[in-house]
Amino acid sequence: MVFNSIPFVLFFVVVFFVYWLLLKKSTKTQNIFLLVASYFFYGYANWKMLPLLIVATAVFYFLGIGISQSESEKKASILRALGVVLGVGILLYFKYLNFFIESFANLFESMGLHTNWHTFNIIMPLGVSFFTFRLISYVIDVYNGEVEPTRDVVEFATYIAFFPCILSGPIDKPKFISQLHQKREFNYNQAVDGMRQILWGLFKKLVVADNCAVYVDQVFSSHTDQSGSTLLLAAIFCSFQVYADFSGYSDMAIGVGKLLGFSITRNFNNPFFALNVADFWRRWHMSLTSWITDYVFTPLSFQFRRWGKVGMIIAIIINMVVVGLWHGANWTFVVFGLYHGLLFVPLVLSGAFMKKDRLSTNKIGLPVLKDLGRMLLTFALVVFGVVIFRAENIGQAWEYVCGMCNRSIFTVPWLINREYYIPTFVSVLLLLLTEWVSRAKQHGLSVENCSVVFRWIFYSVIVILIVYEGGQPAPFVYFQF
Amino acid sequence: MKVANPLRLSISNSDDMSKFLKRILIAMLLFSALIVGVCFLLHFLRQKPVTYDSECVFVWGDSGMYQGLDLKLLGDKMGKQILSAAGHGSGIYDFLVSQKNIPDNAVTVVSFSEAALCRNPLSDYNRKGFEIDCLKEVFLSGCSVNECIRILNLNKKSFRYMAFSNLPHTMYPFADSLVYPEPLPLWHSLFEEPKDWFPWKAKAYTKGLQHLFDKHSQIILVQFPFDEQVESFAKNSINRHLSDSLKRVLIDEYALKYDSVVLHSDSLLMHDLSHMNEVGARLFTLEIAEILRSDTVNNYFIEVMIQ
Repeated sequence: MVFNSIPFVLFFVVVFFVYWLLLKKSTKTQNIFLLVASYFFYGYANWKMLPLLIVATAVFYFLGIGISQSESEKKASILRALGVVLGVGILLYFKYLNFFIESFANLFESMGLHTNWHTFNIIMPLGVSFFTFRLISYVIDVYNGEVEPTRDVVEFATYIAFFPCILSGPIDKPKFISQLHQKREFNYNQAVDGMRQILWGLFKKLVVADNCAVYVDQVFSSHTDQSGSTLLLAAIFCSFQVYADFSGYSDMAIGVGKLLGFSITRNFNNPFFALNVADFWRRWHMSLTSWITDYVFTPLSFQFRRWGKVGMIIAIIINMVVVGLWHGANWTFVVFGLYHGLLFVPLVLSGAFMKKDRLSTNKIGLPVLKDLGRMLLTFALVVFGVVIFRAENIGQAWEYVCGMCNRSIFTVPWLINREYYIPTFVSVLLLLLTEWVSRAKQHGLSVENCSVVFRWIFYSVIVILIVYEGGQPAPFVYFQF
Repeated sequence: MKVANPLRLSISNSDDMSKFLKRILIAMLLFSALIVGVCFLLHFLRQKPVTYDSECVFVWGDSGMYQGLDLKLLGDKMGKQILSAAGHGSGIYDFLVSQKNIPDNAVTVVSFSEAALCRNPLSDYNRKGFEIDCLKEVFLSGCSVNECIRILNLNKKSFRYMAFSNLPHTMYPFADSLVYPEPLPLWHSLFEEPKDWFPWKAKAYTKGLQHLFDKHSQIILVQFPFDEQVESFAKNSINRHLSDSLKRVLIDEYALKYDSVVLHSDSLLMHDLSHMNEVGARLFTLEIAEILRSDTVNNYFIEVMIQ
């Protein structure tokens, strides 16, 4: 049940009215209802995976209580380690086991050693990368005293399975539980802002991402026959596709959360306006990078602090490989992470890594030339990384890059037809322009301070584009993770 | 100290909610009106009315007809212009749009395609353009809302279209052996598993034919053959049973003259499991040209067979 489907609209209308009109007097009942709705939402995709989610939730709930009640530091530490091992174990088993078996078997084969290893028939539960990260962060935060363990199993289970976020994030930290504990009131401004954000998410997904996907799919599937300029354009479109697809989903999730009275973690902050790669990762999939920074990078950099900048570089590279591998069980993701990790090296060496530069603009509100250059350079580096990210294997990525780097890059790219490329270019430009103008705000359609007439004209344009220029619906890219 | 009145808070929340619901309702109505308005505007601005001469011969069908009828040869034999709307994967919606563009008293050759009736609508081409009446027709025949939305989506950019064209296309060349673009199990599932969409497709197809009869067209329904490998399991399948029933209903209802065209040749006439090659198409075209020249009154159901 994806957000841009009729079943979800029907489901959400029922949830919204029952939640606000029938159950508004009791927060507890609202939470129970949200939990039931979340399990229904999750089970609707594949009910066979529901027991795993419920059992994992129960185990981690008791681990949290166990940690807080431990009389000794050692016992609490053991319980925390158990939680981390369990969480990582779920992820390793469902997502990476076959990948490791295949990789080791191939390695031994290449060394002339014959193995008789078989892969397992494992179905990866939807959203496993998202809910396991929530479970792991809960036990760590309880151990570190960052949050009080909740005694209310419904609150905890709702935090883990909260339906707007369970399939593709954002990955809220355990502090989110406090929102489930507080009384929630319907707030007109928050709800309207939620609707705006959903509309903006729909535009990104249906108009930008799905239209770019048409070109990207065709070019990537026939990359050996395409000119360098076509391959470059497809790589650029692929960057917009992945961004619009995932940030569109996040916008819809956050919007749905606002309609239910929740404030969900922001996931993207205009990453294409980043001035360097470090800045890019502070703006891209922020809930994941924040999670990895807290639970992987910070402990690692603490471990390696004696080695100065070298230690920092090692910590960053490990961190980025984890980020890459989180996306999927494929060597392309490992290389993608490694590539981004290496891009940090000059930043660490020059001391620009921790520096948070502010974008400078000229009188007419456009970026100054120097910053524009830095933005374009960062974008070019990101586009190159996206080729690795999108390719099916390293060989394809290499072929693609080689195909791009030749004289044919100066030819006119193939553009399917006029009916395709004009709306696609216009929608990408509209996305960039809108996000540039509203870059200081929470999302592209934060137009609450504009005049009523302008607001409604803008909404109408977006609605017409969604209906008239929306591409053929494609599955969300991040569902596979 | 002033304490917030919980009752007052509740009332203000109710106010917020009713204000929100009212605005959402107004927005939905406005946007719906806007969408419908823009669609109609574009429809009327972009759709050029195309009128065809009733002296032409009109052809509709899916890939069976597209590869099975040599348009140029038929035109030469008949001394008339042949206009075709046949194409690979053409669906029943395409048929409805095409028949709408056929003038009164024209000769029309229409495919009776089991594949088009049994095929999943998701695989139907259905891009002949946006026609509200035809969309309504498929919906009233029982097509799901989702499928109607999909058809709308496929055609929302093709307001400007030509249902028929007389452009020649390449026929499948003769070869000594069959090619297999689709594996045999796919054909198994096409014939042997009951299809939810068969009833509405059959109903919409019949309605399309009725419209042609209302226009006093001379109608030639043609059923093209499958290769014997498909025929061996198709002949006793559930979907063959259903399509045979539909065939009988059409023959009885519209008093069609049943005729079989048997193509004899020492060489292979099929290109793959469901399409004839250029030799088969040529033989069939000569036969149908003869029928159309000799009888300008009766409506036919012609079953093509290969021996």
